[in-house]
Amino acid sequence: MFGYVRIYKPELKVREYEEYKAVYCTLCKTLGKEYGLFSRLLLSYDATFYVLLRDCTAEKQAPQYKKGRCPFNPAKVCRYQIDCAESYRAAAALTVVLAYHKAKDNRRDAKGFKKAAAALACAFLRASYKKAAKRYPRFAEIAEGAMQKQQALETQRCDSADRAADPSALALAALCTADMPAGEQRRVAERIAYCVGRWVYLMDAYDDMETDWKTGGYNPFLLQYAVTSREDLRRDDVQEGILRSIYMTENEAATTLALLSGGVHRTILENILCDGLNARTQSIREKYQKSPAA
Amino acid sequence: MADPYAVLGIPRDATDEQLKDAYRALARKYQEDSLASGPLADVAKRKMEELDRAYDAVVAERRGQTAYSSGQSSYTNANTGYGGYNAYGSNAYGGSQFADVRAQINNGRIDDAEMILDGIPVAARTAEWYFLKGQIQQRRGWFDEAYKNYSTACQRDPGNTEYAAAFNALNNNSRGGYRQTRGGGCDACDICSSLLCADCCCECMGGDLIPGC
Repeated sequence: MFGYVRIYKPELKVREYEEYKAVYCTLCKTLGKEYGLFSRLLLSYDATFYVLLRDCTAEKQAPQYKKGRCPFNPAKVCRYQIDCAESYRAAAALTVVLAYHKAKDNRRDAKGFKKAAAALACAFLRASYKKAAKRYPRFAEIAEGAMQKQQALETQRCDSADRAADPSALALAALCTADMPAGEQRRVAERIAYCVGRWVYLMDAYDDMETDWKTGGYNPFLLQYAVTSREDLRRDDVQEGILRSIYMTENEAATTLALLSGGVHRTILENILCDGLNARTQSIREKYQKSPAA
Repeated sequence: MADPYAVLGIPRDATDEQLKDAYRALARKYQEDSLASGPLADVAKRKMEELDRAYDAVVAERRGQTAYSSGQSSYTNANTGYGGYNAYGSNAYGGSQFADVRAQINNGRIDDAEMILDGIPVAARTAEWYFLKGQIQQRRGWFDEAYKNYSTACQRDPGNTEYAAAFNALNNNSRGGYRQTRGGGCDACDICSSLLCADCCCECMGGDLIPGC
């Protein structure tokens, strides 16, 4: 996952933003404690989303905080959440597992300098990954299964974005609900996570369309819309079709959130799903509108 | 039963106006067309019933009657529009070519339903086939293919309201900006119904707001 799942700050209340920051800082601290200083660099907005969704679904009491200092910026006073430690431990493991698979994927796909960097990252992450996989074997199993399915689709050069997005969307749904009790809440959380996972995949493909066209990398949109020239990337029907699919996905996630019970972090989740996702989509859409087809 | 105020998401000292606003806002969310045709239709329906019960309980309590008394569920019964979607089920089965596929989709057995559908040769695929294929894909979350199949179903059978409803529900979701498209509390229907109400009020006092109505 690639850090697309973010809050939309202009619509957030200050206290909600503080709450979000506290979740972010607590996750960072947990990462450091469990997987060492360097793993803090892996901290992502996506794993933060995992904590928010999980704690909202669990229908817990209001979170409790204590003040502390950020080791990277000692002048800053942070708030750290003191309950729900299990959510953070799981999120830390998730961060490591996803980062390792991302690096592995890059090592396979990238060329030249980037390939070397990815190989280095892979080697660095291996020890942490083993640790995380031992603690949360289910996470590693889900992620590995998804990677294999994804690779199979890429080798077949799957020309349907829906199908290409399916493994990672299903994986996120499974990861987010791995230790939830069966029932309505779980089904709702699964649907939301599926849509978010699908949205991330589609957004990544949309964002990389131009690069992939240049390098000849696999991109489901290029195949689905049979893009043959650089001008095709900006053709109205191509852009409209891609955006329609992305919009349907983000709106479904936002609509489904209404069915989730539980009040913890709820307004933040609403902000992410109803405003945050769309804000990211718009920024990428603008990228294609601004830069003229050369 | 859960605390009705918690279900409505309002404090105990909320005004009647806040109560109504909270009810309407939640009812609108639970009655989204895309939920009614998705895999969580049953959850949405249950949430709506829970909301109705909570609203009735609060209203009864405020009127000085015993709280939680049953038989007050005026809203549940008035909500015919919502139940309409579930008419996919029993009523629609009769004339259907794919009654078995429909039954399986409703039971959540998506893969089995798709296997039967895929067994039908391309030449024999009717508008209903495309509609059901779209339903399966929408439930999976494959919105792009669902959109295309619904659109084919509507083209082949333009008069069918069931296909048109499903297509419109998805189409309404295909514009960006969740807040912009749902945020406002007042749409064209609200304006018209407010005008009609105002007209009725004027008429019973002997005046008239909309002549001829």
